[in-house]
Amino acid sequence: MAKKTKKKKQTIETIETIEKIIPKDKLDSLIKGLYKDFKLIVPKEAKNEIEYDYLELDKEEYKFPEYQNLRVSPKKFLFPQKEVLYSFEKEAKKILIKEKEETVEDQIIFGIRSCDARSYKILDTFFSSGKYNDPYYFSKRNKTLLIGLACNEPMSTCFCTSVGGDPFSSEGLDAIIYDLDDKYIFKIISEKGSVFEKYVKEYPNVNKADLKRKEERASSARDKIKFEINLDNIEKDLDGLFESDIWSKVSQRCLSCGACSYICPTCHCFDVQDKSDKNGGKRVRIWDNCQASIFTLEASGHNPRNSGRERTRQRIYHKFNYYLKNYKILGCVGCGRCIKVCPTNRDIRETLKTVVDVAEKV
Amino acid sequence: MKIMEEIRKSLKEIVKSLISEKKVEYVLGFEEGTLPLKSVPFYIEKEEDIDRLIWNEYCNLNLVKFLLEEPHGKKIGIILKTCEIRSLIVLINEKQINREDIIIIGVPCSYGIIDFNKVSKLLGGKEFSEFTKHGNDYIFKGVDFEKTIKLQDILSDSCVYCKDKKPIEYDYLVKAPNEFKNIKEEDFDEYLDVIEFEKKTPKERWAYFKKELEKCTLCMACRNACPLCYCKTCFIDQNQPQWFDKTDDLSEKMLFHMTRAIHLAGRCTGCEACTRACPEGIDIHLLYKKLRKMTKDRWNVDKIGLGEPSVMGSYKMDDPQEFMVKED
Repeated sequence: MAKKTKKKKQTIETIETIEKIIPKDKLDSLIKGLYKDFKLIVPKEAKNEIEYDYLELDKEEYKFPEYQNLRVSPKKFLFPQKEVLYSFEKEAKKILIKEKEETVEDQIIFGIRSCDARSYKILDTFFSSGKYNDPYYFSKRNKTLLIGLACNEPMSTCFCTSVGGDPFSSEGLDAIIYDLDDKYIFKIISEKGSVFEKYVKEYPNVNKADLKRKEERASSARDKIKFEINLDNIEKDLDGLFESDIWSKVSQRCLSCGACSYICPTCHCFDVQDKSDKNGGKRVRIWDNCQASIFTLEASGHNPRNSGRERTRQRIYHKFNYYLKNYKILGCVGCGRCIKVCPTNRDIRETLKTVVDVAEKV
Repeated sequence: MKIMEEIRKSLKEIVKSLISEKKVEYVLGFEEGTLPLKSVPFYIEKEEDIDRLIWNEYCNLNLVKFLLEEPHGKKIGIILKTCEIRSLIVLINEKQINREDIIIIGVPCSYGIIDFNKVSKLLGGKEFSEFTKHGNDYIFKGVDFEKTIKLQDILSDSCVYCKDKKPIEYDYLVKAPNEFKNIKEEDFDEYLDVIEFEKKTPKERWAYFKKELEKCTLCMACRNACPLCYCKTCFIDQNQPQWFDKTDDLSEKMLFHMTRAIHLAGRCTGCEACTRACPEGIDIHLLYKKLRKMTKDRWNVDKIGLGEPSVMGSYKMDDPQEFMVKED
């Protein structure tokens, strides 16, 4: 090996080997340590549930809560439902355009599950596709580090293992925490994540027995995911089913609301609107959703996705066909949130089963 | 819950006869969902499917909504409770559905329907993997907890204050072995929750609705679950002119919910499918119920019968007019 590359290789190796034991009662002080230098987005006890929110230690006591996964993903922190792009003002006979002034501090999303970390990879891919990187998304994304918490107890609706994920996956993360009941393992994953080194320096290195326990945890977590489907051919399967009757059946129970899209950590379709009065206004980007009747309604009045049939199909195709065609990745992370949120209990796992079954018969 | 099982048995017999005698193209009911305490709409077309039919306290949708998409002339059977039959009556009165197209299988309502959102709130958002029932106690189990919740605390609010148990318009009536009573043992006013809410100051009431509506994501699940929201193009979806700027500002959320409420004045039958459909667990049923109470107080109509004129669509010389602006 050439000498020049050796040094670089070494740093990566050191990064890979930073794996510390954090005693159970020290996690909160680790969080406090990080809080001094970063803005932190953490799972917090709210009135009726645990939700991701900014940590404000000067205003609150904080204890890291226990949770499976949270009902709402942390998507909104990088891709908010409403985001001002710029504002405009009338001045005499001119229109003044004011660029958005946003100072983004370095921030950490702490305790994110593997599925949600992978969802940011999907959003990264989308917002950097084409000629330009989306500045509004990346202004925040580039300043954000992700510290994951491996999933010991996947939920009944989880199916990450069927879409290329894993409850213990560190994909997309900068560091990951494994919960071994009486202690945590803190492992640095990415080069960006090496900034965490100084916060965990004082803790002992992991030993073989702990790593073995971690592996046992991982396989027990995998076993808890009851749903399994082989989606290796899903792109081809869907290629042949565009005009199939299954979409009428699948959409029959759909209310055409946007609950699934809005809760989805990877759904990213947006609309741009002007919010203005007679003196000026703002141009804002807002979440859109493909289940709404107005989605893709053209100025002529024609709508290529006029009924629930086309709209239901669009959601499945976008995630399981177009994404593979455009970016060679699936657009779903298997978090199962859409299953839980649907007012008619439409289950995306059932839809995928139908697709695979029907495609095999054809 | 032996009674519910008997109801299910009679339902199955009725559905079987409707399908075998080809009186309908399908019957709309419910089947088990993929998660505990969830049901899904069930289009029963074949006799062999009938066994999957369920009837219980978590048949949470108003199935009348699914009739709106169907063409006139198509014969459909549908299993409904009283408040849902009332919403079908509104649609028939408003000439959206032909009475003769629909075979109504009326079922007397037991204690009412569980609002899954209330369960989630009481469990702190934790997932339960199973539940068991002991009388009116529901025991929920999850990975690290077991919790007993009283049915009264998870029933839809409308059901807690409902006295409207007997179906009013039907082609088949399922006989309930005993007459169903409300979960409240002592007598009560149907509008008690509204009356209590009215005692609050305007500031407190505003704070309440503000707090609830701030949670809204404008997903339209409430509108889309409501059988009486059937406008071909809802004002929310109209963009020429645009009434609504689609941002999630509180003013826009208020605009949507207030307009929807006013559109439902004198029409809403209080089935509360909207509240149960809300993914955020927003409680705004009081807004709709208040409008129901207003129509009752003013015109003495809070429940509309088949063929009766609508409250907002009709006029009588002696209508109260205290809300009209008068010239001095």
